[in-house]
Amino acid sequence: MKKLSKNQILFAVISLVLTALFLHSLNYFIANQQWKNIQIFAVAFGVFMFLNGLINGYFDSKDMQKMELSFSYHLITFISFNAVQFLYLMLYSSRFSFMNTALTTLFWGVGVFVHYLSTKNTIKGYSAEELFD
Amino acid sequence: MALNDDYNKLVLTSWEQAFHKGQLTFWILIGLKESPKCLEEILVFINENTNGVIMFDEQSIYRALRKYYDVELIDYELRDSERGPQRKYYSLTKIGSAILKEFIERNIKLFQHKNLVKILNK
Repeated sequence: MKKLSKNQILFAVISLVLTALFLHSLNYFIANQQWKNIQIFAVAFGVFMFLNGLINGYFDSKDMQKMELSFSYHLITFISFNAVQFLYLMLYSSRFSFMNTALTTLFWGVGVFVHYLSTKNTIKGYSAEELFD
Repeated sequence: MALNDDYNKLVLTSWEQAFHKGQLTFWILIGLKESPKCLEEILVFINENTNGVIMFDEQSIYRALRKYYDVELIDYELRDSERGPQRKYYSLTKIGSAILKEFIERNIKLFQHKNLVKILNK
């Protein structure tokens, strides 16, 4: 099994913190019916997660191939987001329904698996076009 | 349809650009088959052996070398240089040699086919 790079670990830690903050605020805003704030925080969460992946991925791109890099960051996002989400559900019996959460995880999981399959069909992380372009 | 010189030149240049682009791997690997080389020597090899018809920029060759190293077609060793820091000297790995040999058999030797040679010299 491959070790995580320094930037992948940093990406995972920041993702965990951002997800916890996002879910906590989401729960609070739903409870207080602050719908506009939900939109603002959802966009902010997306932007920060994107920057988190962009910056850490940039440093890792020097040592990793594109396909391998994109899949590893996708997998880390999937694990960290869902870990926090289910932990939050268990600890606070929040307003998020368990069924909805499980379904989201399932569909996203299928997406991660498809991403994995596309990564497997490469030459050491390079697509044939990328390798001989 | 009457074709003028400019038109012919444009079509030929476009065809050549596409044709040359696909040959980067071949020229790098064939250069390394001759002997281990650093990046500058690969450039010189390509220039000399194609009479300057096929040219690649340093950046394209460097990116390609990095990728071929990643997929184990080539390896490198650091050697002292008279000018400045140590240089990477690239050479074919066993995998690289085997793949190049197979590629030549299947694709390059086609041009040595008797009938094709006859047509080319027509």
